[in-house]
Amino acid sequence: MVEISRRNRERIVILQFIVPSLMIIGIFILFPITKAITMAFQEWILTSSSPDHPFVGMNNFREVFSITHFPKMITNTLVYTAGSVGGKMIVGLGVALLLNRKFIGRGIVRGLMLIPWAMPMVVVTNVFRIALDPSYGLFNALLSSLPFVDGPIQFFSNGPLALGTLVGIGIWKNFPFVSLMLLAALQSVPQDYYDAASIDGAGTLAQFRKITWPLIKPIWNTLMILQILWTVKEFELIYLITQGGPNNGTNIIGIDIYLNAFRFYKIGAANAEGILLLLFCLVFAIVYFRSMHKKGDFV
Amino acid sequence: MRVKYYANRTLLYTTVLLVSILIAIPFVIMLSYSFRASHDIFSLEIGLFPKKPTLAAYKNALFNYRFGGQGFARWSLNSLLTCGLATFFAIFSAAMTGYAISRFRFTGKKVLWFLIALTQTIPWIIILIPYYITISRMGLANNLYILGMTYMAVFLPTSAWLFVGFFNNIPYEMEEAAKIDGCSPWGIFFRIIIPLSVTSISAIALVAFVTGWGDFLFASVFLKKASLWTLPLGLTSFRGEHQIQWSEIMAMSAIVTVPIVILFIYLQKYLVDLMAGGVKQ
Repeated sequence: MVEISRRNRERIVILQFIVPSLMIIGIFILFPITKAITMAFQEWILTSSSPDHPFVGMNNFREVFSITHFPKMITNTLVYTAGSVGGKMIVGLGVALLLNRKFIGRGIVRGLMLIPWAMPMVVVTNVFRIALDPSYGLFNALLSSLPFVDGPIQFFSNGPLALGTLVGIGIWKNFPFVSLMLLAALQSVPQDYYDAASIDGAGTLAQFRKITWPLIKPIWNTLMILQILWTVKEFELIYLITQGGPNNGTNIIGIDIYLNAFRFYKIGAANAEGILLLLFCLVFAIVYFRSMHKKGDFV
Repeated sequence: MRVKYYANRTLLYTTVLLVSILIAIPFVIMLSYSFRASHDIFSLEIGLFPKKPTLAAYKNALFNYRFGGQGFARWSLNSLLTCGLATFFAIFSAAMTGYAISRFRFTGKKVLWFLIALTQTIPWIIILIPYYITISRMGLANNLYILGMTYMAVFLPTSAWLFVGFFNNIPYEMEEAAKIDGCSPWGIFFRIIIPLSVTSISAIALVAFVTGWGDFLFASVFLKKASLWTLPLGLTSFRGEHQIQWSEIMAMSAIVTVPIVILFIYLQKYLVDLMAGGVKQ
């Protein structure tokens, strides 16, 4: 029998550790992605029984670009992503700074922040749909009882207001994650730095600019890239409240892909849109990957 | 000086109170509706606390509500089984891969790591279409096993990403000692690493489980038969009804949410450390 060398034995062990994941990722993720890319260039008519799907070049993309609501959908996607990510980052930082101060009940507030994070999106959408309902909504009823509000507000009946409301709900759901991550970073800043700065007469704002911000900036950047990647593909939040309506006012790319594929059966167009989304994400994923790498302690 | 101190504190506590209310209000509204009798909601009672709290909605949501002949019992069983099994297999493979990336040197490690970072950020809707077409051609639509396997694949990259951050943060000395004593890599992994990290592993498992527990996207495409539905589909079925049963929806929502919230709060330290470890990489 051939003696297996030490190096080879090691290789076999390593392979055993990674094979299950490789198989899962290969079969369930990489294979469908390659298929999605091919499908974007094929003709797909689900009603025809013919099993072959001829390649049609850029036809699917041309079809996507010619959809009348395409520019609106792209604008919505960008506005939604920018508003939602910006909101999550700013509210997240504000609350993190607040929780970094000492006060009674800090642990309770930190505990509360886990509620939005833990709440399933299906539940969140149900709660907000009901709470904001113009006739029965508790929240709407509370708002209408305020002096300067004129009657119940129809939150989901016009595009911009609906999109804004959805941005708000998205911020509520996801800012705790940003906050807790930034808080963890804030707590690793040594108190000595602030003490020294105080002695030198630096005010709160100067301390934030000169000490806090430079130290949390790397984590801030990583969080922002992750949030962009997680927000641009938003689906459940919007689909379960407005389904992209009214009049495509809240239609963003994730919704459009789903509707094209599973409601209008325009498989080719849906895949072409999917490729656009994939390219967008790929750019940010590469930025994210490189920023992870720079810090060095990896690979 | 004292006046300024008190003014400062008052401002701080007012802000804290406002922020807490804003964070908690949707959860409180959910509970508030769930303890009302259905007709109360239509009578538009503005108070946050129901005047005559009742458990009727919970009873209805748990035992009486039916859609397509199925109800809560069946859907929760489906959800628990699919998400539970998917979580188990995903965590198992993710832990091994995370350990390998964190501890071993091998060619292709960078590629593997990039693959995980990439698949973790991929929009699932992209793979959903080819995936669905493939399984329906194979006659495997309306199949909980397929949904479970999909969940396993969906949970895997994020879990592996968290495991790498976690293993990077635990010191190597003990494993070195075990290695010198002649322990194999498998022995080290199963007898030292796993028992030491049970709580963190459960936190990663919780994150994975919750992803499936709340999933609507895959379930809505894969499962057309009400007997195969998972809880999120059951929760959205109310809206097709003629008379929407708000209290019942909120009661079922509360049943789905409260255990998860309790687990999150219980494991919060580990969750935050793990996520921070992941983000910091």
